[in-house]
Amino acid sequence: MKDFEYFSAGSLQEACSLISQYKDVGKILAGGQSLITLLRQKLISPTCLIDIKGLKELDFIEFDKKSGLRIGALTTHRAIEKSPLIQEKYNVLSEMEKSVASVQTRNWGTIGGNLCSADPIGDPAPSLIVLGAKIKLVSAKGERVVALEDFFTDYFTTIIEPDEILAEIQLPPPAPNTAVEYMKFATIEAGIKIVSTSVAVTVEAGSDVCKDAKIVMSAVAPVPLITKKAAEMLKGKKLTDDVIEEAAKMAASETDPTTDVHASAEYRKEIVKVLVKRATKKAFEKAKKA
Amino acid sequence: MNERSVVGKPLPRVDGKAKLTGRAKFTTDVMLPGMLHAKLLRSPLPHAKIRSIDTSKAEKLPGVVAVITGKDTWGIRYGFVDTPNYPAEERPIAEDKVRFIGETVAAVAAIDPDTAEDALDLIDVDYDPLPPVFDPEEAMKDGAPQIHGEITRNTSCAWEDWGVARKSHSYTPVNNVAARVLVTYGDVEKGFAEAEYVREDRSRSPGTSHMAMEPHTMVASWDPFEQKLDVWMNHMAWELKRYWLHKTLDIPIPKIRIHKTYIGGGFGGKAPCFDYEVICAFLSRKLCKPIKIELTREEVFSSCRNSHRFDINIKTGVKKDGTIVAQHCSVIVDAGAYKCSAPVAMFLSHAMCDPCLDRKNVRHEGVAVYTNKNFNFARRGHGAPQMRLAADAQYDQICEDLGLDPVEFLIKNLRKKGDVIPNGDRLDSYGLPEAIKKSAEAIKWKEKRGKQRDKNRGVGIGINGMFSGSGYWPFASTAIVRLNHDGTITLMEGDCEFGQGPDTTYCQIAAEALGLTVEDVTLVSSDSELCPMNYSNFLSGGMFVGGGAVYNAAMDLREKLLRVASEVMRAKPEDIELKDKKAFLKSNPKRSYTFTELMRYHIQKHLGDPLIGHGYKKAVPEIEFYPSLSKGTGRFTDAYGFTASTAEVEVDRETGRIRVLKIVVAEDSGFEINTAICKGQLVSQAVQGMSDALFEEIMDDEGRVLNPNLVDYEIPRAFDIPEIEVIDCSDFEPKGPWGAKEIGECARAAVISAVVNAVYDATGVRVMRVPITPERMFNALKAQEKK
Repeated sequence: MKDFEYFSAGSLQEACSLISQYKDVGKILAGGQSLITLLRQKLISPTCLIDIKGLKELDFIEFDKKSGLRIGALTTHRAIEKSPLIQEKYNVLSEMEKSVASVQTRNWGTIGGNLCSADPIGDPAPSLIVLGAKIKLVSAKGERVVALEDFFTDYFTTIIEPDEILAEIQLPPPAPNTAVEYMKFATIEAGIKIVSTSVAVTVEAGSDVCKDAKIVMSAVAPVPLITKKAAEMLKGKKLTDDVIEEAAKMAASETDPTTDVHASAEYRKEIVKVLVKRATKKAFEKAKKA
Repeated sequence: MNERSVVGKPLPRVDGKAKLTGRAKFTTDVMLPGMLHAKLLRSPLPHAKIRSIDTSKAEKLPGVVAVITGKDTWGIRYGFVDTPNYPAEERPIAEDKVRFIGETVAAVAAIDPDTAEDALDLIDVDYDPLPPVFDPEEAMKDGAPQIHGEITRNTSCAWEDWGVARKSHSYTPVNNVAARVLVTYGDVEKGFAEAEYVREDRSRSPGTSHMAMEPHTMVASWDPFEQKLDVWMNHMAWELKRYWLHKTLDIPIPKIRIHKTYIGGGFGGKAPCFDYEVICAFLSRKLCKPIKIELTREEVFSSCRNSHRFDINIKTGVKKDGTIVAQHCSVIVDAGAYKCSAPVAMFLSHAMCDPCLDRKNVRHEGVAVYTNKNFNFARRGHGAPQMRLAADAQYDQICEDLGLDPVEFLIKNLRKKGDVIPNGDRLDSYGLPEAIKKSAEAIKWKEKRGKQRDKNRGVGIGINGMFSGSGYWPFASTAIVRLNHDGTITLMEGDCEFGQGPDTTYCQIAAEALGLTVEDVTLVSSDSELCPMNYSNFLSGGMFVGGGAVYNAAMDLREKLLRVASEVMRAKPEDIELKDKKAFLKSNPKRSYTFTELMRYHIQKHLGDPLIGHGYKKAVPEIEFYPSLSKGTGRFTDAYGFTASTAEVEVDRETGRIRVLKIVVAEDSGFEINTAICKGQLVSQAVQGMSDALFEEIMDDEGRVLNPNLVDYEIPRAFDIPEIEVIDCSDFEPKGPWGAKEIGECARAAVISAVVNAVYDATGVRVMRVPITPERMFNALKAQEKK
């Protein structure tokens, strides 16, 4: 690890002014679960780190019936997993968080840090995108709100400007007659995932026709992948096994995975079929009861 | 002494408090005044000539104290196998050639690790790439790149020092063959001719990492006035490490002191001599400063010893009832760039098999081949896990082919207690039959085998046998038990504590002999200056040989105490008992003398002798030097430990993912000195075995390790571990301390086979290549569907 200058920001305002000053050579340090590894492996060597972990103002989970859920960027994975509010209203997030790395990592790693590191195998992004998440980016100059699905641009790359800080994640109120299911496939529990998917299914009230669907995959493309064609195939249909199976095949054809030490591209596509099928079925069953 | 009060109990570890509270001192905790840190520059090429190395820029970096290259250490040789036929060829720093990605080409000492690392980037090495070869079968072909030229005897010629008559001679490997082994007995042709069914299969086990929690670390401190080297290091027998430092750096043996530190796991991976150890000591002497080298996890993967990749062709002939009549094994060991223990591994793949089943007519041939990859050493079983997978998976398939039950097949082919096996070893204790029966019962074999495929579930069985130390010269240990003035004892013995528990179990052994408690024992262990000779801490010899020496030393003191007591009490020694630091008459316990009184008396009446117990033990008393590795002849060990393991798995046919539901380990390790430590050993082996069967493989591409970290090389965590049942099937070992023998290395192999065979039972698909990753299983299932 190369030497760097270390700043601990006392407030979001101070953090913004520090990052605008050091934007070319600095990095934001939140939980550090990804950043420290990159530093150790010398994949990045910033000369200055701005530690925002202590900022209480970005550590919150708040819900409003009309506007929905706001999660501060520095909320830890563990806090999201254990939040009774999230368990009640956005249970998929709590379930998803259970599969993020290990308890130790979840205790320290933050949701904002996870999204900003933009690892294509990250767990939270697919479920948040399926739930319609937006994110608030702030800087010394002001703030902007963008849809999370527009946030990621490539491997480990986002639209965030060098002087911006991700401040919060916003989710609309839970949609009626809708269920969301997250499934992850890895060789070992909490291991590096081979494929994961989050599927949202909305049914017509009182029927078993799919009104709306959204499928987001991770680890199959440089960014979280929305498999739109597969979702289209579900809409307006009774979700029989055959319909779901066809959509799952379509989802696989929409992905463009790579081969690495954990799995080949071909195998990843096979797993996409299985996961999309299983997650859709489960979401559909839950949505009918919702 | 019939009732045991200290041994056979799950007593807490004597090092438990220190480890739980973080006070236990590991090498990384050693900080010395003025200490420098060294980092190693490693070759980016798998095979290349070194034209020149320019270190001038690195030397000028502020904070850098010294840069050394192969020119500084030219000619230094060492090796784990260093015999007249196979002189050592490892070197601390590459000289004119690199042979694998990760080989050390230079070392930098600096004021801190970061500066040293920065300096590595400033060293310019001019390489002339040579064609590499990575696959052992390719490497053996005519015209393949030759990795070694003439291997000459240089500094190291270990065995001559110990009085081996024959001189080492230079040799040049042909077709990259590092060593060969051929073991035969019986008449193999005749055996196969008599067979009613013959099967031939191939299996592969990959290279894996030992995954010790503590990466390899060393601190060396040279005192220029005393001309003495103080060392804190990762080892599994300081006697070996001290000897290598003595030979490679020409420092007299008494001028090297290896201090006790705790060691964060070994599993075989810390026993041989490493480049960084010679470099650390070399730099310390050169600079007259303490030097610390801490390797990273990535370096452990790509530059420290891993386990050997084995490709095995196995052919077995049986009668229709399952009686084995002949077996022919051909083993190819991927040695890597240097041979290290490869000649031993391919011999052991036979030697560990032989005590288990009677195969009657056997031909076991092995070849170890140099390739341009990192090289290898023992990992918990050293050849046995690879061979057992080949054999046990094939037996399982033979049973399927002939409609036999695998458990009955194993029982039919068992050896018998008291048998003398072909190399001359006698099975005085042999708990394998009971272990097979009990492990099968515990997994509900009869109810489940072949009956759960509709649920994608299956059960499987595997077995293994393992030596308790071997004839590896000079595999022997010594212990001293001092009686203290207050009647307690001080035990001095050399075995080092790397988690396997000798500090605790040896105290129990000594305490039991003298009627004391573990608290009455002060332990001095694992220090080369304070402890007597010790070579027993590897080859699974700890308990049998090291513990045996402790037992003999404690019994020596016991006899001396009884003799004094009999003199003082005017009674026969056999009528006297020792307990609570007292000697008393069995018939009248009130008539007693304290150990303090006996000691005082003895000093007074016997020329000042304060009563010291002395004991020693050699692994195989009958052999003079060591068994023939290349022919497999000669006694090998005095006692074998045995395991039978069963497992139940469930396979997701859509994804290929395998979930282990339960593992049973039934073990014969002789009398268990500390039942909790034994259980810990077996649980850990169950986890390792499962992990080998399903997860672990070092993957490489053109000689570069692709997964040199714990993100990409996945190992199970607590929540991946299934129910594990441990069953004690101990058979009292008459030559072992209190009846104990090997534990800690045997079970891993049996568990791998059990899991692999259970996968077959669940799916009807035979996979003989581990790890059975979800993708491998998926592809095998797809291939089955196509059939």
